[in-house]
Amino acid sequence: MFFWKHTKKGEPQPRGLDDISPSLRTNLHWLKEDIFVHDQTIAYRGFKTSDPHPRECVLIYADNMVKHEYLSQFVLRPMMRSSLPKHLRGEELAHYAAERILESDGAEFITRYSEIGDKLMDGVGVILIDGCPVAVVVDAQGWAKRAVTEPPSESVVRGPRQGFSEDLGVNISLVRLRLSSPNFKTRFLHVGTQSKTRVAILYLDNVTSMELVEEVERRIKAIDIDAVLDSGYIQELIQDSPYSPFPTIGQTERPDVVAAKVLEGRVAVLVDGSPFALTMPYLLVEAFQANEDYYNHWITATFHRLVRYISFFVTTATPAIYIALISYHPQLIPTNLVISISAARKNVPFPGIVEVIAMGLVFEILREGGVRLPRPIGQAISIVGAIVLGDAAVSASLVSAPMIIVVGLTGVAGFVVPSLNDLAVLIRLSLVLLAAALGLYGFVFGVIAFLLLLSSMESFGVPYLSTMTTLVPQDLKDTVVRVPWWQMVLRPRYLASKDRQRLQGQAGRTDR
Amino acid sequence: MKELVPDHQGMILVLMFIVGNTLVFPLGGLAGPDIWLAFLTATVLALPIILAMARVRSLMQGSTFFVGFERVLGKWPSRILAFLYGGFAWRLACYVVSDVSNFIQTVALPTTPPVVIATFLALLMLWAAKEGVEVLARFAVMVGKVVLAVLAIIFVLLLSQVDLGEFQPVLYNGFKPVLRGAFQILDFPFLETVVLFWVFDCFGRRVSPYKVFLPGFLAASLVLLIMVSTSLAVVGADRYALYYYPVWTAVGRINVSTFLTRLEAIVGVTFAIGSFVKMAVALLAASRCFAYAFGFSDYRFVVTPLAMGVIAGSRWFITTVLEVDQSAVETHSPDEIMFQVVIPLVVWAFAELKAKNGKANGSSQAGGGEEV
Repeated sequence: MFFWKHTKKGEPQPRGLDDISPSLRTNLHWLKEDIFVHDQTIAYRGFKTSDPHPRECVLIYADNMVKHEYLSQFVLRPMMRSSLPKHLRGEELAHYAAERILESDGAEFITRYSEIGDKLMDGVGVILIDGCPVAVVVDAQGWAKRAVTEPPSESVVRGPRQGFSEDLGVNISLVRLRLSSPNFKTRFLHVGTQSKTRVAILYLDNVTSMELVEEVERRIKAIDIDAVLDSGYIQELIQDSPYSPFPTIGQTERPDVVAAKVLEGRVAVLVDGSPFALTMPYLLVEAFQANEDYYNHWITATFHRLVRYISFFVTTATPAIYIALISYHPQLIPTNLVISISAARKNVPFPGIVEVIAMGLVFEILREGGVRLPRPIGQAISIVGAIVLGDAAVSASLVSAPMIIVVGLTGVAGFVVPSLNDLAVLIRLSLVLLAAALGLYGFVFGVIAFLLLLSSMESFGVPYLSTMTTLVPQDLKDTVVRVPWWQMVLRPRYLASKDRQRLQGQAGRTDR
Repeated sequence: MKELVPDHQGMILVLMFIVGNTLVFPLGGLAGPDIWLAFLTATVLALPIILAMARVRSLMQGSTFFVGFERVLGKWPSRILAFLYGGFAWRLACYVVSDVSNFIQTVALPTTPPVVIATFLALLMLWAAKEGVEVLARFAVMVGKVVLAVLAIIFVLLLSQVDLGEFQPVLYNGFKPVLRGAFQILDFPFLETVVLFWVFDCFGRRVSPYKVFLPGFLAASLVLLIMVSTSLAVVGADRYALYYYPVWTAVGRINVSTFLTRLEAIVGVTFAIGSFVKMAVALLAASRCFAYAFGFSDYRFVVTPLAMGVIAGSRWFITTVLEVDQSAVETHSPDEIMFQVVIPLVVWAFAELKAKNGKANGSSQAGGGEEV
């Protein structure tokens, strides 16, 4: 990317391949004419150190990526008010400035143009001193950031209200605040040939297995893509079973969730610019766990968890079972009910399967329409959906009333397990088609197929159903039930290979 | 590729394999009211064979299945045996598929041709067999929990209808019917377990085969004993053997305050899921055996043709529910005695001899080696 250039007498010297030249004029020339040519956001602030030996310097920074007051106050002012001793030569100048003059907290030295290019985009100031082949980099990050707010996608009644924002540094600090142990480690990587997005791998040194960390790092390093704009890119590029619709990498907007997962021996990946952290390995049970389960009383938490499992069954299976019953096995429905259902369906001209698919589609259209619309218009959608399509469709005998109940119940139950909601639509549709073909047994074949799919999946070497297919009581403690904290003595077997002990001594309780 | 199944998952796989497609049939109907005695007798008689299988697998510990098997019997005998058992397992898969497809046709979908159902089943088991025994074992645990829970609930609900008088008088016709019933149960389903011998590639520890086969078999025997005796006590000893599906009929009688009724559909669903485990295991065993018999290291490419064959085979061996009933009630045919009793015992004897020789020579050739 850099080339030798022909020069005539009096012009800047030819540029060494990538090395910063001692001549300030040469440096400025190459920066302005080659590396940052046509880039008008890069600011060059020339100044001189004070008498008796004034020396030409330049402060370079990317506009709006730095705190301007900070640069003026702690970089420019001290530099302009002090002088550099005459006897200093070459690199000594930079070191003298960093050690004796500059008042910023971070300062490092770089010797290559390409490093200047990389660093400036991170929001720093770069000082070039005439006669010195080393540039001083001072931290001054100061771009616009969103405040730490409650994440809209995962709100809680009980629990911390902090959510991740788009800033990687802030996000890591939010996790670190919860795990202030020296064992909490962070590894940084850069992904994306154009975006050079910073990606951080978070784990606990004494709990997480190193093979897992290495594997995550290896997969991320293997990514070769031009840009990473959200953690979703990384998620899709490194996950197992990419053709399965079930997620094999978890995502969350909450630092407390990340801390909890890391404590169980998982690895978390944070991506600069994305408020969604990734956690891996991800097992199916995690879709049914919520952070509030662990903050509330264990009995109510267990109840809520059961409700989630039931809801998932309801949202995926109800239409299929309904179709199977009314089309193939009416003898299985209680007599009174079968009479009222057939009375309701008497005037409807379509078979059940058409009704289910049409109404399901209507529901999905309303939902998709509501998601991306501005709030005030969104309400109009729900009015149209509820009154026009629901009530009017029944009175016009386009669909039967029981079908509205089935579709409504299905739709509402889907929101109880948000991480599997999109997927539930696909499961529901395939089960409905099978039930329409072979009745209850078609439905069963569909369930068998999905269970086979789930049994065959793995996430980072851990079977996807791990905690569900075990018979070891300790491993079952956090699946369908959430046992009290004082009984969760060990960490999950499949994740925390190094240190399984979670509670010490009197099983964590003091009042017994 | 080494496939290792954790002990508890293997155990559930054995349990589901035996319980799977047996649930609804009139097992041991020949024993009449002494059915529970027939079950106990069959359990005792089957134990030596189950233990012999576990022992042989335990002696092979440290090598994958076919490598160990070749060490015991030599190359050609083991290939011939594998071929024969491949056929046996494939036929078993056909039987199970036709059991299920005929059952579904009889109780639920009278106008749907069974071959349609068999095709669905064959596609599913093809997939399962390709995924391998590890995935199958996980699947078995997932469905096993549901199946066992359903059976437990049904048992409790049936209790109010149980008439213990149906079991009396004990041994009214002497011990002969008990033995005939016991042999019936041995043949189907207890000793069909020999198919499982070929399915597990390797085990975690030396005691693992015992931990897989023994508790799995005993638990299955207990579950079947409870379900079968309960349904016999509900429908009556004289009618038990006459019904095609006595458990189905018994469960149909459950009526809790006119709300919990018509539960037989749940039995049907449970039966279909349980049978699926069995047919997938049988197809997997058949594929592994045939692939080995013809000298291929990976079995996966044989699965598809064999599964397609099962669709035809399920209509070939058995065409109607009448024949299903006959095959379940019929006692030993000579080939079954061969496959289920004689050959396993002979293999065991060879394995013991080999292990003894290996020890005497001071080598761990027969996979005997050091005791763990």
